[in-house]
Amino acid sequence: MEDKRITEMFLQRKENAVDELLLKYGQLFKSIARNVLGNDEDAEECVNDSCMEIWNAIPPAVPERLMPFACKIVRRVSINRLRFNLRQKRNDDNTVFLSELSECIAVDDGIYEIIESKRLQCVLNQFLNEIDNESKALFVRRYFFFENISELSERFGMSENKISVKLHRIRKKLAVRLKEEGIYEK
Amino acid sequence: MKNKNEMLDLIVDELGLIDDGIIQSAMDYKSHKRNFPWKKIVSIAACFALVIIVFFSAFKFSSVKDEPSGVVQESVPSKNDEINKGDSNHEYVSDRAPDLENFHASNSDIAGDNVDREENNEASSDLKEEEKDEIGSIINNVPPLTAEVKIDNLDKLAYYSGWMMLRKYGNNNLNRNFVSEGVEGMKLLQSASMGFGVDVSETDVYFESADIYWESTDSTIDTSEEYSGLIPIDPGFNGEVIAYAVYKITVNSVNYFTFEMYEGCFLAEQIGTGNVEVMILDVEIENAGKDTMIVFKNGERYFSCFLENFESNSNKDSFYRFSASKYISKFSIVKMSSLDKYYFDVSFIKNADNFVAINEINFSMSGYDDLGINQNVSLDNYNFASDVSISNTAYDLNEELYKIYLEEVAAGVTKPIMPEMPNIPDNSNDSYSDVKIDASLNGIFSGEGHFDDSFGYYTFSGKSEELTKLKTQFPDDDFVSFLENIPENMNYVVAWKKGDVRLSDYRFVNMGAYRILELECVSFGNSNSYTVFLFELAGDFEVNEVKFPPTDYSITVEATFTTENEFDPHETDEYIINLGKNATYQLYKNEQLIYECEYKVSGGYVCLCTHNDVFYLELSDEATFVYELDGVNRVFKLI
Repeated sequence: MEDKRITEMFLQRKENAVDELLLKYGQLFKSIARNVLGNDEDAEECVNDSCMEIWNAIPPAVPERLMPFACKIVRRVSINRLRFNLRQKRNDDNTVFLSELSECIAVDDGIYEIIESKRLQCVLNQFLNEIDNESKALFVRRYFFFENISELSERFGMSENKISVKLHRIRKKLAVRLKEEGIYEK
Repeated sequence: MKNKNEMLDLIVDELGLIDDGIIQSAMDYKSHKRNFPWKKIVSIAACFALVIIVFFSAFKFSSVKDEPSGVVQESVPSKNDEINKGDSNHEYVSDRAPDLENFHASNSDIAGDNVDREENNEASSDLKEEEKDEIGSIINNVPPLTAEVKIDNLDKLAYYSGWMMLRKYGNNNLNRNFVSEGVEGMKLLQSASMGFGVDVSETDVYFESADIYWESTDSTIDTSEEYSGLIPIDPGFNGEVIAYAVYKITVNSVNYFTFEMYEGCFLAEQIGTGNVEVMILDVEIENAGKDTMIVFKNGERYFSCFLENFESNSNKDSFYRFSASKYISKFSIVKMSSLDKYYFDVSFIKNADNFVAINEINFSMSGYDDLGINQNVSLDNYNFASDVSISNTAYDLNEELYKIYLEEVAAGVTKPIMPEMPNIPDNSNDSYSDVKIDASLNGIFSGEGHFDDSFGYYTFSGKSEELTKLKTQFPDDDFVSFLENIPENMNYVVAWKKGDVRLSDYRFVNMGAYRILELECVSFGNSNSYTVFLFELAGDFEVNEVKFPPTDYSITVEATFTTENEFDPHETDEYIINLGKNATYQLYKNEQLIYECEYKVSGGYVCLCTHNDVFYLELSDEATFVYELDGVNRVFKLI
């Protein structure tokens, strides 16, 4: 079923909208949640919670693109769950993406005041619009969908080393951009 | 105060809010590359083999059981045993690059079997037996690419590429009976059997993955310097070599030799004295085309430059001149014209189409010998591999080639070009629609400049250094000051032509990586003035304001006039009208208003004249030209 049709079903408050959504994107949602959380049980719960959030969000929201809209919710719910788990010490090895992204940010005191959420978001969007399509896809799949390196390797037909190096270079470029924007100062 | 983890959280959160379009496009992106499922095939094959082994073992076991007692099974050495035995008889060849002294000393001693057999087996597994014999002892001393080798510059990459090629195709039967003719600056080599070519079509030209595979993870990369650190090489499909760095480079042929470098010359300043390895490589750098480069290596110091001149006087010899003016700096190719006095000449003896020997090597500076190096050239080793295409072994180095050209521009050696025109499509040669001419801004520049008659063009982006460069090429301060009056960040092409001219045609011509604007003009009127054209580049540029040079220049504004039958286009004086200031100007013919414009002038005078079907609004030196903005299209209004 087309995304628009599913969105219409949400807008019309048809309960099978969620079923259709899961039918089409359930695996994707689950893979996002699993990539973040590292286990199926939590991932399943997150997908269910996300569906509830999506149900509550549409309407009033009328997303032009349903998939990214829904994925953002799944991602956010999963990350919140991850943070909860981390506080509870229930996760220990699924935060590699965090350590990778740490290359892009500063640890200096005082820098945080200048960061405004909107600005950072704007810079990230600009950055992603500027880089080539392959890099963009890599970056988004890695840091938005949290796909692991081996998955990316298979998907992009490159070795894991090459994927790592490419991601490294993208992060480096991002760090430079953040630095230029005054968000990252070392 | 937020800690690092909180910052990370912030970034992770913000990444969750990136544009839907970006996410969608990332999901839609499909890589054209797919891994060949070697792992699956290997695992299936392994299972299959296991089943067969189990089956035959069972069968053998039952057969042995059937043998009469007392028959002893003869022990057959396994392949591994053989290899291990062989290894023990061989001197270990380090996988580090050997230093040159040992390298040369060992050349004569190293027989074909003085090689790590395992390595040799892997290196030549896809070669025929006779080809194996031809792989020379020198070649077996190739400093292998190992995890310890850092490819941190383009010279080094070229050097190792060349070595890998020699290793595969180099000649075993080197003739080292060098003959010195006693000619100053010249060493002659006998041409017999000095090299050979391999028809690549008969063999798979893949480097052995075992030789060049580097284990590397992201964390081992030294991030302190942009291109330092390990660049992992992946054996990939069939052992194809792919290095992930900056450029894509393909080596088509390589020559190798060494000589003794003495102090006191340009090259010694670059790489030091002692034994120097030299490689001459035909390379192809992606987007930069094919070129021939010479790489000098002394230990870990490299100097590489490119071919300036090539002559092939006959079927028997060829002459290469490499100029230091175009050299490699890290992963960039730099052009430095001040270095063009240093050059390196190499003469080759050819046998039909194949180079078979180096006839002469000559290092010179401005036409004379470069501080004695000629006297000391000793070609200790010479090797050759040519006519070998290894395009499959391209190095995919990952930096934008664009840089090369930009650096050439930065060095100030290029003609005015348009280095950055991102919004003009490549196929703009015959497409006018993607470049908008704002005809109303064409003007006549009538300063005191003494430009030559040639046409000039320039991409103006308002950067001071570019103005400086322009100043160098067109050292007329007036014109530069004219340009300086154009606001910064305007993506305009400025072109000028001596005389009163009218633009009749223009086109963009691709020359390599450069895009050149060609303009065609019709000349008329005053030849002492200059016509200046400004082209606004279509695209994303937003120009909110345009200022003409305020006081110093007389300009003409051009617009197409559609009622040319109503007046004589050659009698321009008739149409000088209404010279008031800050007013709306009207043009009358035979007391009839034929057009009216809303331009205003303050100071000086303004005159309106015509030529052919074009109207010109002229302003005196004192006049300030104020015009109406019509959105971003500053259209000269005809009413």
